[in-house]
Order: sequence, then structure tokens, then C-alpha cells
Amino acid sequence: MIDGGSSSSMVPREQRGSIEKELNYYRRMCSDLGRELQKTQDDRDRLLKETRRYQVRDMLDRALSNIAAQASDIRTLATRVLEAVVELTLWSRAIVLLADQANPRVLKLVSAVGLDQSRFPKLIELDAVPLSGYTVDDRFHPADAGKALRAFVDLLGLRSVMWTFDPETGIGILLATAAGPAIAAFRPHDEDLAQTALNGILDGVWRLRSQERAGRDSSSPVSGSWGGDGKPLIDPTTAGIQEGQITEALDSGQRIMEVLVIAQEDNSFLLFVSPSWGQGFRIVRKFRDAGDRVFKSFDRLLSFVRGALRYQGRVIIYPAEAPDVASMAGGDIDKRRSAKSLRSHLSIVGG
Amino acid sequence: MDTQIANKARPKSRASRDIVIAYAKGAETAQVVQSCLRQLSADQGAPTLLLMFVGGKHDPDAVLRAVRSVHQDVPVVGGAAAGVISREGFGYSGFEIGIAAWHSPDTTPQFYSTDALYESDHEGGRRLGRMARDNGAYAAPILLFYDSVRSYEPRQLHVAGSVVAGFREGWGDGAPNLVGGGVLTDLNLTDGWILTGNTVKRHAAFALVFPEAFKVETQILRACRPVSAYMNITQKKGAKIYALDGRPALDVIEERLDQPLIGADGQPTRIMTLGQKIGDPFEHGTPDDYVNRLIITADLERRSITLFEPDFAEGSRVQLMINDNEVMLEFARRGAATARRLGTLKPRVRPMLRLYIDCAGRASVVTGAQPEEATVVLQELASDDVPFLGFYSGVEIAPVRGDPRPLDWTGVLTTLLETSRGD
Repeated sequence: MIDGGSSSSMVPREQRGSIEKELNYYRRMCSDLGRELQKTQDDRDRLLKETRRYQVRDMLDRALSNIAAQASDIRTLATRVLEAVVELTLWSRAIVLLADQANPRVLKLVSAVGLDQSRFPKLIELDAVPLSGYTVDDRFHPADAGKALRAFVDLLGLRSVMWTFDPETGIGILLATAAGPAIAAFRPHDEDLAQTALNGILDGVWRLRSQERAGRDSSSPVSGSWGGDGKPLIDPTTAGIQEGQITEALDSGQRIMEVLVIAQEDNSFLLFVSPSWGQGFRIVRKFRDAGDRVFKSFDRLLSFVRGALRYQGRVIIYPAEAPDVASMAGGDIDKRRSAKSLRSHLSIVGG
Repeated sequence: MDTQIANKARPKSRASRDIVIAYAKGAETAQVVQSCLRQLSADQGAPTLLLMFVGGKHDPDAVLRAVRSVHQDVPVVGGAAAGVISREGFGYSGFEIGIAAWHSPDTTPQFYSTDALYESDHEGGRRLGRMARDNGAYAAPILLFYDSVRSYEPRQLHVAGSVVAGFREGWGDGAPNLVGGGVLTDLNLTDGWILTGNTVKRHAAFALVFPEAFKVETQILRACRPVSAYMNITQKKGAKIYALDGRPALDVIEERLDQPLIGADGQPTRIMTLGQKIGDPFEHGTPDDYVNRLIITADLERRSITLFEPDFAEGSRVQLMINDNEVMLEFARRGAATARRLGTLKPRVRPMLRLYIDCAGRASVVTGAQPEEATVVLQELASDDVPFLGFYSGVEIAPVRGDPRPLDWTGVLTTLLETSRGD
């Protein structure tokens, strides 16, 4: 119908049908254009949300890496991880629980954010602790985790919860969100973020444990890296050392005493370090101990030594043509040529 | 229970600035509060009033305990915030706390509160208006804040329009204009609470009544534009709209969407808004000509929708609105620039405080806007030395064409101005 009665009554009857038709045409066109605009915006919103999800995961990865490197105790570590998770995801509540060693079905509160910890039970006993699970649209996934998830829902008073657990350490992370127009209820893809958060805590826990070990090791006397006969001493107790182990020890106040490099015939380099918490040189190994770490570029090696290893002293290089030098990498010190002979091939880089 | 904490000192013109802003963020409530309190100017002594906006992940009782460990007797008013905005930082994680601290009795507002909203929003507003009128003799600006959330499940809100109408009725003739907002704990409208002097209250509201030497200038920063032709509300009750153009309202909305408006968990999957144009509906309009109402939930069986406020009448024409990020950022830029110029244009007028009441729906995590809208406001005011504090709200209240109205999806940037005598 045409609005504005008095003006429409002035329109001759024969023209009214035509005007109404024209008006309806424009109404439809207006609505269609609006609908298209809305669909375009919806598509953009979907893309933005997807992009944001990846951004959040990247930011969380970076934040957790820093937090794990600086953690001084598990409660501080857990709190800082939970803060980062909640700040980036905007979920409502996040809790770290630790399974009791004597009774793994009992979970103890380590830290929580987004709720009053004094009102949260210190111990939660479950029939079984699931590895993971979440609620979606008031259903539990997986179904066999339903009982535990129901207990979490009742405990937190929110219907959307997610749980991820590491049975090796007994550490679990419990997340909850009050769903609404801005932040949605948990969806399967959120398990990625929950696992990332748990990994951040586990990384920190391993670092803390490693620091404890390194602290104990550092109390043993450290001898020099060179034998009385001038030979470089290779630590006989270990086949090598990984970067992560070095970083953890450095974080706890240890340091690299000396660095030695073997330049191989293919212009690649093997790296040996003499750490303050051991005896003699150890070859630097790849992540997860998957072989010796080989540097294709000396610049990168030097950058690694100065940066990651925080070592500013001299770097001793054994050239590839030095007889028997490759055997050092095999850890068989007896077959190595004398240090005096090796030293005739030395080059000194830096300090 | 109603509360009155009145500052009986008569106002007088002052030249010194006595409002100090503090901001901090973190999960440990006591530490964050302590960090804020350390930022408050120590050489001015204990504050006369603290206005606090507290991220919803903090325990409000713990907040009060932490304040009381430093300032035993200072009135603390404020409420939950989905986020806080300040020059020192901003965010909406729920870990943020922002404080505006008054240090001079001469400029400290009188403070009145009520928790009668639980019974009736209108009655709560009326009591507050009556208290303010009976005790505050000034024809002064008033800031009004209230708890937005009546319940999360089922989703029910306190109605700003009823609180405002009640306040004006309680005040009676010559009711002053109001600026303010509804507080909530997060972007999902989960909960809300108010600090009323020395306690935490739900279903509460408070009013700050300023001395007569003060006035407020307000910029309303808009974001919405229409994306449909006019539709008539043909059946409604309260905030529930049952039919648009004679068809079930939810059907009319959802036929424009690729996915249901309400998810299986009963929660809205997106933010949608209905707008009502003020003035001649067929004249050219701008975003300033619209009052918008968020759709907060829907009834899947009745196919009805529920708006944030019940004020759209049956028979009125409405349009579907979308948030346009370009409009939002441009209004933010222009509005903040206008606010910055205030005080430089008129002699003997000095800006004392800028308060930014920013709809939580404008946050980048909701709109996808880049840059974040709050940063646009902050950047525009970067050269400005007026104390600034903002928070993410549920509803904003500001004068529209002379009358205070609840607004949705706006930013209300208010500048509190002190005028010299004789102005």
C-alpha cells in the first residue's frame, strides 16, 4: 500500500495502480540490493573469523613459547598460559587440573582464570579421566566422555566446555565459554587451540623439570674441555646435546664454555659445545635427537652460536682435511689425532 | 535498598585538574587493582570518589577488598565491563580494570543508587530520579549506569528505556538530560553487576549528579545503515516482535541469511539489528537519523524475535540494519575530532573528563573492523590532555534530538565540561 494517505488521494485513480506497481518494483529492488549487501558482508565475516582463528593460534603459539621459556614454577606457568588463552580466545573460563599420582581419577586444581578459585573444589573425582572431549549443542563428544563432561558442565555452570588431558604428566586443561552472539560455543576446530594451550603448559613443565636436573648436575665439578695431552675431551656420558636442552640450561643460569666446529668436505659444519654443566665437548644434535645437526652455512652456524647459545667467545674450527677429524662425530676419541696436530689446523673466529 | 552518598560541598570554579585515570590488566585481581591505585596521583591524597569499570572475569568482591586495603572510606561506584578503553591500553578479555578518581570535593559528583531493578526497571529508575531530585539541588548533568543483564538463561535484559523513563518520572518537571550505559561482564551479555559505594549489587543502577558548574557535550558515534525496505511491526508484546508485515518475524529475518539466526544451543549466531528512522521516513537519512535495536534472541517455536529494548511500537516502520565498518570508523574519527575541539572553541569552558561508552558489538572481534574502532578514537584524541576513560557496554544512553534515549551499536563519547561562573 502507498503511505501518506492525503497525497495519494490527490493522485488520479487511473494512475494509482501504475504508481503502486512502480513503488513495489523499487521496494523489491531495494530489498534485493540489501540482501546482496548482507550476503557479501556475511561472506566477509566468515573469512574474517577464519583468518582470526589462524591468527589466534599463531599468537597463542608465540605467547606460549615465551611463557614456557620464562616459567619459574608450575602454578605461575599455568596461570600465565590460561591468561594468554582467555585473552586471545575470549573464552569465559580456563582451568588447569593435575591428576593425583596415587589416584589418577582425582584431579587437583592448579590454577584457574575467569572464576573465583576459592569457590572451586580443590579436588574433583571422576569415574574415568577422558583424554579429550567437548560439548556441542548440548551433546557430549565423544560419547564415552559424557560422564566427565557432564561433571565439568555442572561444576562450571556453563554448557559449552572442552577438555584435553595428557596422561603422561597428568595435566589437563578445562575450558568453558558462555555462548552468545560474539563468541560462539565450542566447535571441533577449537580442539586445536585447546591442544596448543596444553602443549604450552607441557613444554613449560618439561623445561622446569630439565632446569631442576640441570641445577642438580651443576653441583658436580666441571673439568676443562681439553685433556692433559692436549686432546679435546669428548663427554663420554652422552652422544650429544639438543638445542632445547641447551636453552633450558642457559635459562637456569648455565653457560657454554667453549665451541668447536668441524668443517666437512662438502662445506657443511658440525658443532660441538662444552657446557658448564658437563665434562668435555658434546656434539649438537637435531630436535628429538634425530641425528647430528649439520649447518650448511657457517654464517648461520655463527649466528646460532652467538644467538641461541649466547656464546660470545672464540670458535675453534677443524678443517675438513684434518686426518681422522670426522671420527669425533662418532664419539670414538681414541681414534682421533692428537690435539696438537689438530690445533695446527685451527682457525679462530671472533673473540 | 537505595543508597545516597552525597557530596554536599557547593561547586565553584577551579583551574586545577583533579580527575586522574588509571588502567591495568591481568588475571590476578588484587594485583591489577593495586597497579591501578599506584597510578593515582599520590600527592593529591585520598580520592573523594572512584568510578571503576572492571573486566567481567574479575571477582567484584575481590576488587572491593583490594581497594579497601588502600582506601578504607572512599566511595567506589561503577560496574562490570566487557572491556576497558584508556590511553594506557585497552581490551575486552575481561581482565582489564579502569578507574577515574576524583580528588576534589568541589568537582566530585553526588552519588545515588538503587537495586530495585529486580522488581521493575521503571520503578528502579523512578526511585533513582526521585532521590536525585530530592537531594541534589543542581540542574546539572547526570550520568546514569545500570546492570544490563536480568538473566542469561533464559536471556533477559534490564530495559534501559524503562529505567530512563522511570528516572525522568521520578525527577518530575525539568528533568535533566542523561548520559550513560548498561554494564555487562562480557561480549556475550552473560552477566552484569554494579558497585554501589561499598557493595556489589545485581539488578542495580546508580546516578552521578554533577555540580551545576558542569555540563556535558556528547557525540554519538554510529555504525549502522539500512539494508531493507521498510517493514511494519504488525504484532508485538514488550520487546518481542511476533510479526513483520504480517509474517512471522523470524522467518522474515532468516530468509535473508545463509544460516539460522539462532543456533541449536538457543543462542544467537550473529548480531542483527532493526532500525527505526526518526523524522520523515522518506527524506534522505544518515546513520544519525536511526534508533537501532539489537535482536538478542528468538523463539524458534513462535518464530518471534526479541529486541534489546521494547520501545518500537506496533505499527511502526522498521528496517533491517547492518553494521558498516566504514561508517563506524568514519563516525569514530569525526566524533572524536569534534570532541577534541570542545573547550578550545568557548572561553571559560574547560574539559574535565572524557567518558567513552562503547557498545561491545563494535569490538573488532565482532565486526572484524581493522583498525579497532577504539584505537581510532584514541588516536584522534592522542594530542588531547583531557583525562579519558572508556568501557565496552551493553546499551548506551544519550540525548537524541533533546531527549535521552537508549541506543544500540553506538559509541557515546561524552565530555564533562567545567564552566566558570557567569557562563
